[in-house]
Amino acid sequence: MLVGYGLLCPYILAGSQIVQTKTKITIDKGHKIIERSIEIEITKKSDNWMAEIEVPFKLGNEPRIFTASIFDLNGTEVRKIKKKDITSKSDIGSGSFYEDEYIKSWNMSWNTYPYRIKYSYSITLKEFLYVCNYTPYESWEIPVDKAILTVELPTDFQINISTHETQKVDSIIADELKSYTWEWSNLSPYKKENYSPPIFESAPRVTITPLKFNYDIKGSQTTWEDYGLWQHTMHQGLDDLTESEKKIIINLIKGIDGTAKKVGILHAYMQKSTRYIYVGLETGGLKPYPASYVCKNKFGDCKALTNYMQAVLAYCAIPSYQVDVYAGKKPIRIDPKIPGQQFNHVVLAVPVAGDTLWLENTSKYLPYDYTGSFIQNRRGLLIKDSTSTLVNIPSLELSDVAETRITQISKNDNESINFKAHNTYKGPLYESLLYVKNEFNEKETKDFIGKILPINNATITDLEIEVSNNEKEIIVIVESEVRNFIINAGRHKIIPAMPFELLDLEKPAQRTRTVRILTPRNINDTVSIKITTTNDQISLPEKIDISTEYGSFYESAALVNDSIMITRSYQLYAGEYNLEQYVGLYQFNKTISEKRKSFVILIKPNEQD
Amino acid sequence: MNKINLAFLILFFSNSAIVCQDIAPTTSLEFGKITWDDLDFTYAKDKEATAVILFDKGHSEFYIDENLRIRFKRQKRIKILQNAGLHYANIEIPYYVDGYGKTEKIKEIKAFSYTVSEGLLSRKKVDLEEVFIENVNANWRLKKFAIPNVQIGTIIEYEYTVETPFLFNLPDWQFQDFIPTLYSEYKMQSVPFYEYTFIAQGLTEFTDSYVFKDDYNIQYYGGASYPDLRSTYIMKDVPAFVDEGYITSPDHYIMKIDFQLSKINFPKGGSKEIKTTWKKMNEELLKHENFGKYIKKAESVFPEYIASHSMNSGSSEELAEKVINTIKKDFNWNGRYAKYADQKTKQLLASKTGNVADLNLFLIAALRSSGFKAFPVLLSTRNHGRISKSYPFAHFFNYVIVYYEVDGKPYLADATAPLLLHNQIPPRCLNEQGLLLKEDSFGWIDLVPHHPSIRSIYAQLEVDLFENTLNAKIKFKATNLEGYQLRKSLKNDSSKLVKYFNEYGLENIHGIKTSNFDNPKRPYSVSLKSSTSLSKIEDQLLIKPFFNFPQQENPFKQKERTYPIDLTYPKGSNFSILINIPTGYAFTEVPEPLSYNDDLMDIAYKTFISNNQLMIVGNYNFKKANYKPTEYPALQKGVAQIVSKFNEYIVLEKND
Repeated sequence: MLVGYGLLCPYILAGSQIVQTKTKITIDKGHKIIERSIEIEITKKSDNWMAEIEVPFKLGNEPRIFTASIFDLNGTEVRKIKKKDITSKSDIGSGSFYEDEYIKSWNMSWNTYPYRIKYSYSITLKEFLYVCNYTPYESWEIPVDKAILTVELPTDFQINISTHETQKVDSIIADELKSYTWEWSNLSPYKKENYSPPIFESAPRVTITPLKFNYDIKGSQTTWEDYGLWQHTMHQGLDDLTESEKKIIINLIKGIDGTAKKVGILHAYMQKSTRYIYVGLETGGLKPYPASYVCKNKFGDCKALTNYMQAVLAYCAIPSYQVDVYAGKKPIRIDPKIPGQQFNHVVLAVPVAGDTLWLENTSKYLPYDYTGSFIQNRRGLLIKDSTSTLVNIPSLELSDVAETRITQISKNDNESINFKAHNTYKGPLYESLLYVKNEFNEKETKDFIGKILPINNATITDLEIEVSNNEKEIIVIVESEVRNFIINAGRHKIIPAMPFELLDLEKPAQRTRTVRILTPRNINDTVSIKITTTNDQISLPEKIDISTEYGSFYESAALVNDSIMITRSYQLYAGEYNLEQYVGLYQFNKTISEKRKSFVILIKPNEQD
Repeated sequence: MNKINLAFLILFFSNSAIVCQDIAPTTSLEFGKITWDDLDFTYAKDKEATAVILFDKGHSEFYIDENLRIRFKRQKRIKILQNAGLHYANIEIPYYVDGYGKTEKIKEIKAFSYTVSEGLLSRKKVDLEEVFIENVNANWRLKKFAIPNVQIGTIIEYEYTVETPFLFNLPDWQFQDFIPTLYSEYKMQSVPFYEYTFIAQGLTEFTDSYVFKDDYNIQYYGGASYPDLRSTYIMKDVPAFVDEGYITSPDHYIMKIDFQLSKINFPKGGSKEIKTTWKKMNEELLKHENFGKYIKKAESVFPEYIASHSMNSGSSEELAEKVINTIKKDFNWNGRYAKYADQKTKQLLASKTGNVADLNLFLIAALRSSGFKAFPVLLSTRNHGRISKSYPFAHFFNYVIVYYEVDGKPYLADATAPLLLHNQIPPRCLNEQGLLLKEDSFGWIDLVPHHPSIRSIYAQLEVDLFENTLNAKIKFKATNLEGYQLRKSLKNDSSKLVKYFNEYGLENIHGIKTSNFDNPKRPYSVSLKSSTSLSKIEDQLLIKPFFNFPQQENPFKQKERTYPIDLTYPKGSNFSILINIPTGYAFTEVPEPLSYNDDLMDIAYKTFISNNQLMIVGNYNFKKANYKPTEYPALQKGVAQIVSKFNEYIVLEKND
């Protein structure tokens, strides 16, 4: 029977929080045994979500739930969770078609506050690449009063340890066992801060990897070379293209000269004939399906499609290398000190004439010679037999992300204007628009375009989208009717500053983490507003011209013949800014925002009219 | 041996018409038989279509496996027209598991792709080893497979059989999808022992339908013989369903037929009506172990419960409120919709957590025990489709709320919404009408409230010429369901509140205070101060008095409307703004007044100038929760006026 917490911890904590977690990880006879006990105090009804417990597991590694009980304010056990209260269901991630991942879940909410819940469970794993990748937080937004991690290993079990914001409190090495303990207390919750690196990078954590492991095959992660060699070895024999596929491939490149051209043709063939589907079974999370699987099914996940593409290139005598990467717009940065599985995606690096092509194999639309925002500006692990190494994937520069927008505005009637735009997009919007053009219906496309136009209230009447994969740009030609562009102010008319999306930054006093901008921004606008009456008095705003180490902004308005010409440019540089620099970045952003409030055109009717 | 005549009811309910055209005669409707015409087929009628269903055929029949069971066979063929349609080749087949040993079974899955490449036709088959099972929850599973070798131009086809012991669940049939359907056919082989009624939604007539009785093909079951009877319903050339936005849910309008078991005829004579009338459904539900009997059993625990919660004082109104709020406070909703309780009263008292029915049936018992008349109201939530009052189908309903009376006045309550006023129900329940179940009668009651939910903004604005800012003291109030929505989404969290008001154009928000978060009897109120950069040009100050609080954009952009416009509940906004004129400045331009009022909406906008102050008062209200498609043009025009008027500027000019 559990002892009431009132005896152990005779005080009431301030708000809902993790009272204590104890995690013990034991390596025994090659198995990893995780034992956990968690105690949570919930102080108000709106925090009852913390009492909805989920324990994830993989098929074959079902957790054993030992205890799960609710205790009232006096420490009296008021409810014990029974076996029938616990349900299991699949836990298939968004974007996955199928995975053999499951969740055991149960509800431990109560109705008098505060109350505490306490539960414990264990999971045993036969195959693992981590001893632990542990953070004392259960959820970033829940404070933690106390957390203890204990790791027990055979003395001959060699490991690599990396810690962050953590001090080891105990370390015992006995005859047959070595034991490490870490302890944390009074951990505050993390709140979301825009453009910050992932919280995991800032949070206290302990990462331990075994230097030797058995995951599908035996491997080592003593060095990045070792870890790469394990992957390389596991991939052996997976390049088994079918005979029919080989014939197609040979036909495709017959008479084609130049490696890059061949790569382009073969990549386009893969994009046309395959589709992305993720099925994760057993070691499927790390081991690709063989090339023959993709030949047969014409689908696969990033590993399968990349392995297939590598096999296709190899068959055409074009060497290429798989590159593990943490993909996404907010990646967790690779910790180079602890070689191992820190990735969520794989691409293909193809050396071509002193350069490298970074092939993304899951997109049906991105061109073969384009390094997208999904993988750019970060490190990846290039897999090359025993010489695997961390490499830098090139960054998108200002010129790679330029958006050039040319807008012509003329008055339709008293209520609306005609808005014509000829916009050229590179970088992330080029990528998004490629997807939109191919995957969205007309209404969805217009909705998307409407949101990226520098104007509100546009009803798009005509739309043309031209793709130039050679230039890595997409041109959107749009005509629309816009209401409320010119706003009444009695007899006067006002054209407010046209919408322009700046960074959404907290005040410096509220900021606790750095800013990481991985992809720069570069927007250049030219707007011409045709004036219909010549007698009106037009007041134009003052020019805005700001240049800083974080970026620059320029906006001016001038009367040119029968039009008001607005010129605007905005550059935001990629970079990582510490809290001191944050003040400057914040000020840069704020100044633009404040000055733009007065970037207003006032049209007064001539009093004599 | 008893010989039973078959009775088969064909009933219609419809709210829209479709145009039917013949399918191209050269395309094949036979599974496994693909013609070159199929492979060459293009669909010019709908350029948006990412794929087109060439045929979708369902066939339900009864078979004997100790007892009667239903076997449902489906065959579907789709042509992929765009990359965006590739996902139609990822197939998911749901099936039901009751948790007590009875389960539906999915059998005989076959799936193929047909792709022409370099002039050659390639046929690929799904490997049955790659059919996966996903456990969605305790009662539902999915069989999943991905059809191989699919690209633009590929034809995919698949078939499977569902065997079900649940004779109540004769598979329903949907004729329409989000892509066009050239041919949709549902066949049903009837047995005389089970009679079903069906309701057709979204169509006035089938392209073709017929009943075939084969007196020469005599079947036998339970000592009875009967002729084979087959009914067929066909729709051709069904357009894709287009979601126009502001609809309750596509399930309200999509073309389909729903079946409901209506009668069991026993082979050895005699019969049992299942649910042929609302009255019978009412009676049976009130006798049901997990519905009416649950309420009765719950009533027996209440004397003790009431005593322990001191719920026996105050006026009737106060007492009802106390009872409802006590249950809301005392129990937690597990997030599940249900019309039946899934645990015993004792278990609920022990776990303090339950589904909608557990909590609301318990609340009915609590109210009755406190001397109130209280009854259950069944409803279909907004995402669950609509109820046809002409047909007593139990599966229309997925939720139960509480009807109660205080001094003869009727009210509704829902114990699952603690942030809502005790006598209100949450937006998810606002779907036309609910079925009120009483011991001696039943009736339909309106669920959608008539009282509008209002957001009000009161502001005092000062121009700070030194700091170049427009300083505002703002009081924001949200009543009824608008207040509930904000309580739910903002959770009284200051950072969420700041973000929320930032969206309305307020900058440098400080001094934020809220009131009545825990008191839904009063409007949820927020007071704050803000300091927003001033718009200034030459000697003129430009002020947008309502900031971005009014509607900024007209969401009704399409020219025509097919389906009703559903705003969920009547709502509106009030504004009252006082601007102090800074010394040395005067108003040069003030907006013109506006007044508009009809059955659909009212709009009012007025300005008052006195001494050094300008007051602007405005409001707009949408008087209805639902607007007919014929009212769309007026609604569209009204919203355009709101966007234009309520976003006007004021100009202050420096005196000479």
